[in-house]
Amino acid sequence: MSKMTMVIDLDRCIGCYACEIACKQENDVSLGSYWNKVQTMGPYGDFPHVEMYFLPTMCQHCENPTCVSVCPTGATHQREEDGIVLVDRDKCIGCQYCAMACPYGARTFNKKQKVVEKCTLCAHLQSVGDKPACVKCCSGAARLFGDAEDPESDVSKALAEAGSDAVHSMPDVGNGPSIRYILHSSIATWKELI
Amino acid sequence: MEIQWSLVIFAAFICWGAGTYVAAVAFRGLLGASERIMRPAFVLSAVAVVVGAVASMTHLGHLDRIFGVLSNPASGIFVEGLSSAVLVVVAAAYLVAAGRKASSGVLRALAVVGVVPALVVVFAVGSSYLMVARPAWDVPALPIASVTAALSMGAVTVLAIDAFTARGARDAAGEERAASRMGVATLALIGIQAVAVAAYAASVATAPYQEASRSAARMLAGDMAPLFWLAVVVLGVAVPFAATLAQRRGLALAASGEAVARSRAAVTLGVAALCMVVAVIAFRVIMFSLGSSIIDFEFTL
Repeated sequence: MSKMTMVIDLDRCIGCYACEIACKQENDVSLGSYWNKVQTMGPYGDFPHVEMYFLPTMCQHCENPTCVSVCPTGATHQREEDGIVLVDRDKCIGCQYCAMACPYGARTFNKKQKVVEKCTLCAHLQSVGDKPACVKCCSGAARLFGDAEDPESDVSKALAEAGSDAVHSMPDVGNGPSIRYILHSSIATWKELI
Repeated sequence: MEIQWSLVIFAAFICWGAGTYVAAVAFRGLLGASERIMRPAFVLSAVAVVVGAVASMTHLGHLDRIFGVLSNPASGIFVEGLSSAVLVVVAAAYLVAAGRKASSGVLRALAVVGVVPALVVVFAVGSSYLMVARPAWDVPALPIASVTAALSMGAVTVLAIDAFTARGARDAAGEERAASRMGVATLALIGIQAVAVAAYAASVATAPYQEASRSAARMLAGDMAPLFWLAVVVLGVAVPFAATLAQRRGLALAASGEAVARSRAAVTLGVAALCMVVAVIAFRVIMFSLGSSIIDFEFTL
């Protein structure tokens, strides 16, 4: 089984927010809602030893997603073939338990359609052999997409090249977030969020 | 997180209805309460559970897809929905059977069967929120406090029903002894509820990933403190405790000839039961207010 995921190289992220815009355009995300949001981390420290970086956030497509286990209808599910976590809009009853169960608040409620939404890693683009919109538009080529189980994939190679000290992830409370972030200490110090 | 009023009302009425059911069956079966408490208790129980269920439905974005919940029996919504539906059906079956003069054995069996879904649903309205993402919810004290709140408010409600219908007593002396035993049991249940509330506060204080938005300080001395102390503690514990003491005093005065004392105690107990419903609403408001996730990317402005 493959595990399609994303690696975001924060050394290369310039905080242009193009990924946010591309995501909203591609997925028709409602005004005031996001599936993908760039956070500004810092600045930290005292002048002249100041550092900051940008942290693109999104659904972490967890290995053991708590949103899936609480969903009463099976609308939120983990796709068997590639491990991506998706929401079937036609099954969603809008109870929002999945949003409560997400440790990162990475889901949003579409008030017009009355269903919960989130990043799909642009599954509709993947199905025609394309990459997620945020990956395609990234001006710094900071976003990589591929199969984490395949050592020859872009994401596996990037992680191997970065070295384990520079690879980070969101806090894991048993859900196993799959998105990986690369940040070398020469650029900035990774800040744990909790 | 935002207060989910539909779910707040759902929890309060489910606890009230299911708690009243269990208390009526337990008081009748274990403490010798009169049969006359059963019908009004079961009617109130069924109505409260239905009101709670209707409130929960207003929370859903797509009620038209509600039967989809049958696809995941492990989810909290499935357990809550099934157990509350079974409880209402059993209570209705009891009322129909009682109306048709069924034997006491049949009535007793029906009543006992309903205790299972009643206990399951009050536990589920707490355990559904055991989510590691929200530390102030992910504590065993939450479902325990849900059960103790239901049982204590059910006990006070049944005491009120008993006092309101006392004029129909056939064996006044025997029923007063039973009412006295029920009063003692109710005081014990209110005491257990007080311990459960304290345990929840302690659990929040010692939960992992501490943060100001979900701190015990916020509940005990911050913006949630008036709601906690005045509603959860005073209305949920002190008022029903005092009302139950008044019931016991009313029984003593009634025995010495002051019949009006018992009817006064009935009104006091009825008001106390309503106060306890308000207390459960307040507890849930606090719970939702403290329910911040360990990280929030703020994907909705």
